[in-house]
Amino acid sequence: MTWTKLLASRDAQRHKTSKKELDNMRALIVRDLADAAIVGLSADRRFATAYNAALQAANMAIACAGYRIVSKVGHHRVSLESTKLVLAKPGHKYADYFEICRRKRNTIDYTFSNVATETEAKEVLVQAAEFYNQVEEWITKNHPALKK
Amino acid sequence: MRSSAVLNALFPQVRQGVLAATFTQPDKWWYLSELAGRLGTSPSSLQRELSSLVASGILVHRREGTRAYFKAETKSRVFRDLQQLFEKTAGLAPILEQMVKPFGNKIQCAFIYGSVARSREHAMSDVDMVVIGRAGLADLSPALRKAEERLGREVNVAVYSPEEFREKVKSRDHFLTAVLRGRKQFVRGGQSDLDEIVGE
Repeated sequence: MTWTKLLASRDAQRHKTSKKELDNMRALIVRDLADAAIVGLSADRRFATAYNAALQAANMAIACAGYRIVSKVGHHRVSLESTKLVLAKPGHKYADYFEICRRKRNTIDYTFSNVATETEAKEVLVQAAEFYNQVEEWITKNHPALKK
Repeated sequence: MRSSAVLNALFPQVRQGVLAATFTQPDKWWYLSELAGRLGTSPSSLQRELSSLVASGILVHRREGTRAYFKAETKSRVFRDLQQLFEKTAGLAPILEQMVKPFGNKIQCAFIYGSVARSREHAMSDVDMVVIGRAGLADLSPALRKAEERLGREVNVAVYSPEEFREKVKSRDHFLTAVLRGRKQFVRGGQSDLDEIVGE
């Protein structure tokens, strides 16, 4: 996967982001990470909410790199896979992990209930927070004008 | 050797067993009686199949004294196609065993359930798997993605800590009750490990 191919297949568009746009995404991530920690919610809902925080963190990194993933069938998968292009090697383990989470989240939102285990809901929250921190570190280093 | 609806439709039982054993471990030389033991049959009942598979270039054979050994012919132009077919069907358990093996004691028990464990899957069936232990989905995901590539299908894993698994079984969780009542194919540990986790 390359940006050239993603642009050619119209999975991605060139995009100039702003500090304001990123701050809106940051607020969304902070909200989702907080909601995903609410003990009274089901493991499914916590899982899906933490996954959403991770997806937005991926979109932040993609936006800073100068792109936006086009909203169409499969765009979550493309967003997660594209973080490998932006974050290089450190992005790979998160991309693989959140791709598996993406499938689980699809089942949760559209097909079955009681899909995520407590163990998985707790883990995805930790992983999403770690991934978000990694994206912020990458922004600080590579796009200091857009940092938090 | 696990049975597969796809393989059952394609090959007679003995040929299927020989090909599954040799193509899921293509570097291994199988001693005739070892292969027969694996398939639960007698060496004499394998002779005809083996001769035919060697004559067609699908298997190779060598002799050491009085012993005959067989393995997959990896230079055959159909080798990769056959290997992929058997990895995706009969080879499923060995690939998933390899996936969980590096985690050692971090995984206490892992098993396949659902249509694949019942050998009722079709070619596109997902594989459903339960993993119990201290390895999380994040730990498993790189190996899981590789296993999915080799199998050509998705593997849906539900990860439980031993405590959560025990608690849910005791509270008669609907999903786990159904899973435990159905057929399971273990890729790590066995029924006794599962019983131990549950506290039986």
